[in-house]
Parts: sequence; structure tokens; C-alpha cells
Amino acid sequence: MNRSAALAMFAIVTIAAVAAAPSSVPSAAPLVLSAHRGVVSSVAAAGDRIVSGGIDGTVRLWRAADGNELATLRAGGEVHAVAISPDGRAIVAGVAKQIVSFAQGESRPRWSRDLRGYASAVAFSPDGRTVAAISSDGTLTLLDAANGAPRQTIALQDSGGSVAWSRDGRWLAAGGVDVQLWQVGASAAPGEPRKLAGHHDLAFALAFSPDGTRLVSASLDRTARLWNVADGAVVATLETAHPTRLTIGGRPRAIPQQLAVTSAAWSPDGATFVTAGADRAVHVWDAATGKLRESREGHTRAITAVAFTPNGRIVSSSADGTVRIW
Amino acid sequence: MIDVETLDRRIAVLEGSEANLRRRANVACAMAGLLFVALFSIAATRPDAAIGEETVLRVRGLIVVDANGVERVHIAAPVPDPMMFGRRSERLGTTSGILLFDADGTERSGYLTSDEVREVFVTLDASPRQQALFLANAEGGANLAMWDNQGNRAQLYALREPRLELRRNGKSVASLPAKEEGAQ
Repeated sequence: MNRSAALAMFAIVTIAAVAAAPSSVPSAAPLVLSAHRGVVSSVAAAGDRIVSGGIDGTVRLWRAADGNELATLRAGGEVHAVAISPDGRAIVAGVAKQIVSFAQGESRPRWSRDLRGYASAVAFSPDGRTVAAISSDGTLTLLDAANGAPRQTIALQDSGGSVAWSRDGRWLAAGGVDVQLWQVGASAAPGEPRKLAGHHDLAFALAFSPDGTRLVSASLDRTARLWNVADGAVVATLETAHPTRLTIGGRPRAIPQQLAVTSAAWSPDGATFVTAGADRAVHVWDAATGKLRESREGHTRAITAVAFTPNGRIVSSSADGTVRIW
Repeated sequence: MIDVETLDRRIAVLEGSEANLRRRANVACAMAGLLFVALFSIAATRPDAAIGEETVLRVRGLIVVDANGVERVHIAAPVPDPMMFGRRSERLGTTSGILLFDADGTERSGYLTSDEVREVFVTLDASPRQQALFLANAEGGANLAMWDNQGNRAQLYALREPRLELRRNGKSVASLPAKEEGAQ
């Protein structure tokens, strides 16, 4: 290869690499972050940071403003859940049957703690001092965020799928098929829970409204439910129909079907919340009316988790191997 | 007549030539040895030498992934715990066989044998729950069950005698042969 041909090849490779990199300018089109390999199981956001976890065994830290990848952390196993502390300085990941914690700027885990089952969901308390982890065997474990020391273990009645703290720290919710709700004071251990019954399958995600008065649950029973926290009453059952191709009598037909709902998050201003799942769309709901405002499509496989950045941008992770910032 | 000095020069030239020939012979031998090793290696690793009729691949597991890196087929003894939208849960008992996963990486089907209860079965799952099961017991007898998307079940089972049953909301609504009064 002569020199001019080599330079031309270098130029083509450079242009291709630049074109493949995430756009540095936020736009109406979502930023697509595609460094994971295989299913991206989880996503969380705090400050200007987004963290995602994948079945490829990595936890990835991104800058929310432009989607640039800041760090890749080797978790040592399939990552099923991630959470980032409110100050953005610590990350916890549910890695197979362990909880693993990373400090900002460090690639090696700060601590890890074994669970009885597979980690399903993790959440930081609003003060960042406690980590709540729920595992597939239905055990809710509260851990000291500084060193992973167990503070309390609570057995749910069924398998565990989701956990969430209210922003004021007063409420802790954990989802099996039923959702259990504890009122917790500052650093006080949870007492007897209130049971929110209604779902017919696992509650895969939970999210409190910013004022702590409402809770939304996303379930594999193909519905999301909006609960009144004070009395545990169902405010609304949220359903979306997805046109699914079914073969009936040998002929394919597009028939509206409800599909599993895997994720939920509440906007920072409390005006909207989002749900998403197997229908690959992010559904934006009006919090006041419980009506569907819009659906955002783009993922090519099921959505596994959603979150909001503090400035109100929606972030979603998917089995298509990407994270999208909408 | 050749004088002694000339003779010594000629002997020296001949000795130099001999040493040169010896070096060349050594290099040729080394080259021949390397060529032999190379040819032997190629012959030993030819595909038709490795994949003979008697060759068996002996592994505990085999995973097929799609272009996105998502596991789509898993053959293993035992198979791994179920995967659903990027999360795992515990499988009941130890089973071995073949699992199929959809493009989301969620388990959708299995053709399996169970170590503990020694059943062999085929499952067909919706995303994410089981919708059809075809099972044979080790001791004889078989079971075919199908669920609708509300959890109602149609079941054909043959243990001591064949029976067809339809269940709605957890209760039997039709049965052949008909169940006795009060039976569930």
C-alpha cells in the first residue's frame, strides 16, 4: 500500500469512528449509548451521571449531557440491577447473587455482600446511607452503604422484584406480586408493612412521586398501577395495547395485546411518570389525570428499566443492547 | 612439480570448501526438519482429520448468541436458572436439556429432563409465563396442559386413566369423564 492510499484509508477509518461516536450536542432525537453487549438490564441517574448495568458483566458510567462514556467497571458477573447514590459518588450493582459497591473514580469494588437469591433491584435511601436490595427469593436486605454491613433482613411472602424509597425517606416499598409498604423514620428500621394487593404477577419496578403521596408499580401481569400511599388504594390501573402479530387459523393478524410492564419512573417535577416494558415503547402518563400523554418509540427490543435525570430527561435501557437518553 | 607452499594453499582452499559444504548441509537438514514438522502439523489439523466419524464433542454446555450478543439457545447439563428481561430467578430442581430464548433474552421454551422427579417435558412460554407443557413421567403417564393469558387452564392427563379437564379462575368447569359430586 502506498503512502497516499494509507492516508486515505486512515481518513475513512477516522471519519467512520467519529460518525459512530455519540453526538456531543443534545437534540430532539434521543442519544443512543451502545457500548454494552447483549441485554442492558438496568439504568439509574443522579446529577449529571447515568449508570447502566448489563448481562455482559459491566457497569458503565455515562455523562447525561452528551452521552459520553466515563468509566467501565467490571462487575464480575451478570448485572441485574444498578443504583447511584443521590450525590453521584457511589454506585451499587446487583451482580448475580451479590451486591457490589463502587466508589466514584475507582474501578475495583469497594465492598460486596452475598444475597440468598439473585439480585432483582437495588435502591439508595435519600440520604445515601442505606442500600435496599431485594432478591429473587423474596428477601429484602438493608445494608450500610459505607461498608455493606447488613442492618436488617425482611422476608416477603413471595419472590422479590422491586424496591424503592420515597424522596423524603418516609416510605420504603418492595414488590413481589403484592407490594409491601413500610413507613420508616429517619434511620429507623421498618416496622409492619401495609400490603398493596392487586397485581397478578411480579411487580418488576416501583417509583414514588416526588412528594411521596403516590406510588406507581409496573408488573409482569401487563399492567401498571397507581397507588395512593396514605391508604393503599388503587387510583388507576394503567394499560397500553400494543399491536401484536398473532397467527390465528393459519393467518397472521395484528391484534392489540397488553405486554409485560417492566419499568417505571417519576419525573422530578411530579407532573408525569413513565412506564415501559415488552412493547419497546416509553409511555408518558399525566400524573394528575392518569391519562397517557405520549409514547416514545425507538428501542428494538424490550425495555428493561427507565429513570429520570434530575433535569427531567428520560433514560431507558433495553434488551437491544442500548441505553437511550430521550 | 608442486611446491609445498602451493600444496598448503590448495589444502587450505579445500578445507574452506568442506566447511562451507558442511554448513550448507546442516542448514539443509534443519530446513528439512522444519518442513517435516510443518507438514505433519498441517496433516494433523486438517478438518477431515479432526472431524472423523468417531469424533464426539464432549462439553457441559453450549450457548448460541445472536448478532446482538443475546443468548438464544442454551444446551447444558444442568441448564442455568431462568432469565427474564435481564434478571434471573431460581429454577425449581435441576434440569438438563435445551432452552430457547427470544430476542429479549427471555426464556421461552425448554426440552428438558428433571434430575429429581425424572420427568421429561417440553415447555412453551409466553413472555414471561408458561403457556403450554407436555410432560411424561418416568413411571408412566403423561400430561398436556395449556393456559390462556388469564391463567385459565385446559389439561389432558393420563395417569391411571385418561382425563380431560378445563379450569377457569382456579375452578374445574368441565371434566371428562365427569368428576364425582364435590370433587375439585
